[in-house]
Amino acid sequence: MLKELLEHRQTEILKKWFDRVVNGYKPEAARFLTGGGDRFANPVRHTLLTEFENIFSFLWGEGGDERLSTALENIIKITAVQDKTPSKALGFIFVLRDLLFEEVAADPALDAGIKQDMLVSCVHQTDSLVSLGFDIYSRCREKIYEIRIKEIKSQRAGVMARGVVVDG
Amino acid sequence: MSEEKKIKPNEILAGIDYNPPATGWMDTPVDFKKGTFCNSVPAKFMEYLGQPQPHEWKSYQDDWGLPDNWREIIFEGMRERLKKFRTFRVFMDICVRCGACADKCHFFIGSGDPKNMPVLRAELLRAVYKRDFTLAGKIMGRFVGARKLTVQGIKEWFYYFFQCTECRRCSVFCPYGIDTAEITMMGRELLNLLGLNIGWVTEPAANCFRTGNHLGIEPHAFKDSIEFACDDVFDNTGVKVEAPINRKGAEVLFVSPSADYFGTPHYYTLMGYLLLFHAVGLDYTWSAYASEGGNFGLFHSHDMMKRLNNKIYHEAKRLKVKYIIGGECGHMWRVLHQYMDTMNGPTDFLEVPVSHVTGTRFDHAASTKMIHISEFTADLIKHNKLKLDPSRNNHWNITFHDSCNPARAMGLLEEPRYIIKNVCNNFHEMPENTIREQTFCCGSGSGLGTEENMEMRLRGGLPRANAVKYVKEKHGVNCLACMCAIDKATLPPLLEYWVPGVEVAGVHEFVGNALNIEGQNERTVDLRGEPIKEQEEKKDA
Repeated sequence: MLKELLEHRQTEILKKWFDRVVNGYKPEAARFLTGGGDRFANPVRHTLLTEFENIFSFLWGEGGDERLSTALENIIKITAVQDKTPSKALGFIFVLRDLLFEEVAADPALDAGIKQDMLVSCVHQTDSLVSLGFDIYSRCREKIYEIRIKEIKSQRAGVMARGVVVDG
Repeated sequence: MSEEKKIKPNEILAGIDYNPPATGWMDTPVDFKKGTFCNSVPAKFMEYLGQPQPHEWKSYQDDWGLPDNWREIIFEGMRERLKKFRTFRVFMDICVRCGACADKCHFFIGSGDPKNMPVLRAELLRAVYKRDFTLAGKIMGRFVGARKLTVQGIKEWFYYFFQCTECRRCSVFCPYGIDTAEITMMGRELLNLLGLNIGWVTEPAANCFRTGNHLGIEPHAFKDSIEFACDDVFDNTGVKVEAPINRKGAEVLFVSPSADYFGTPHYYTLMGYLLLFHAVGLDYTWSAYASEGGNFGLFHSHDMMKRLNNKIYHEAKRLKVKYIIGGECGHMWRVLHQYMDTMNGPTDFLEVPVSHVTGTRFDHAASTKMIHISEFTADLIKHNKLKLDPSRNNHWNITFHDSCNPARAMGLLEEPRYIIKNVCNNFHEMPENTIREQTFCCGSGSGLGTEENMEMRLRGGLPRANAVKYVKEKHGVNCLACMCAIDKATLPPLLEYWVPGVEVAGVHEFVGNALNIEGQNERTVDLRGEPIKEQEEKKDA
């Protein structure tokens, strides 16, 4: 029943989700992200729009964990390097949870008991996203440090391999 | 749960604030977060280059050790440059803030930081110009965008002028032709006056001034390194090549970036040059003193750029060559094509380059007497002077990244593509708005390619990597070709983060692989020493 309710409201939810996340950026960036440009001129906008839609459809069992994980990774790879704290880098998931709660609460046709079940279901689903997201975020940050170390090592290896003496 | 007790999202999420600071750009101070800026320059390199105000300081500390009269120094520096460089004054005056450049910077696209919009980055300098050098600014102040220069403002200059790779993509879209890179260059020059620069610009410049190359490699080590490459060429191809160094009277002086004989994957490009010169019997020499094509002086100041560029021409004169060929370098060509002639020209002691194989006269280089190796090679291929077997590159599925400076500063768009299409069988272009004049920067140029700046580099490189990802998914591309030493150093980590599984290579690595040369072995391995068949099977799998 929750699935049907949310599917029915998918377009509105996705739009609100995107708008709220984008409004977390500075105003000039928010204007850019809500503006035009194709997927190459405006890659962050394209990624958010595409992957929000994927997450929304995969979240209710279509596509499986792997595709859900890929969708999350495509977003978190960006937020992990965008000068955000970990909570802000994963903040887009909490925005979705807000929205799901609001949708359930706003439906006058549902009785209290059903709403409670739905809210619990929303919590479970978004909790699983947070768990996945946290793992991905950690992997991204580890990767950054791994790349940094690798770069230092490769510079030194180049010197050593050719017996070149570098002074200064 | 009753309706009254239902969970409120904001209660759960208390403490997580999604909203940005509400202050405008003038009132949002810069935050030096590790991973997003380059280390400050140690005093010894400033001293070596005879630069003003050498002192030890750290950009993330409060006190930058500025001299008491820092403001007068900056104003005097601005006054001098506004008088000396007409472009600087024009660029300060003519911007109408149309916003055409705003969303073209790779750092803004990747980070969303408004001060990475070229118009706003330039405004950091322009606002000071307005307040202290224009009547309107003096009278109306902030109302017309004027701003008092403070220590915070100096810190902002440092942070953002070293967050511009001087790639000039924004300039392509500016209806007035404002060259934002030159504004960054002026910003950096002014910071120099206070002893403020980064280590990765000043140290290579000092090394280059001392030994002739950015890495500080001395002549004997340079010779060892080139000879080492000759040995590797022999091991992989069976061809014994010569690499003369400091040979007076050669027809051509060849100058390449030092990373070619030091870094990977640059080294395979060097092997390609050696094979090519051997194949066509080029009468040439390397120089152990002009052992650097790159010019980190461009990222420092006009004086430093001139000093470092001069050594190439000084060596050409000393060695009595006829003309110069330059290797796969990026910013070397911005210096050569747009500044060299007025800085160190005219080069009346050299001749207009003429290919000894085809007889082609390179009249476009009539003034500088220096041509790009891809011009030399494309001409050879066009005249059918090279025996090529492109199938030796079948294990590569290639796309081409136009390096900013060869593409935008000298218009070298067709030659590399022509070469690649003749020496490789698998080539796919990235989307139109990410290549040629509109190419996206690697995100690490102009001295920003340091490991401590990695997070910023990954943001800035996002648009480039995003296009690579597209052709990888669509066409199975596994190699990003380029013609710039900085690209070859910084694209591999970029791709490792954003598009794992795509390698980086120079154009002349493919040329070397494809070349058929008398006396060669069965050529079962490529210039990387990898078995070609195995690699091909791996790619197909």
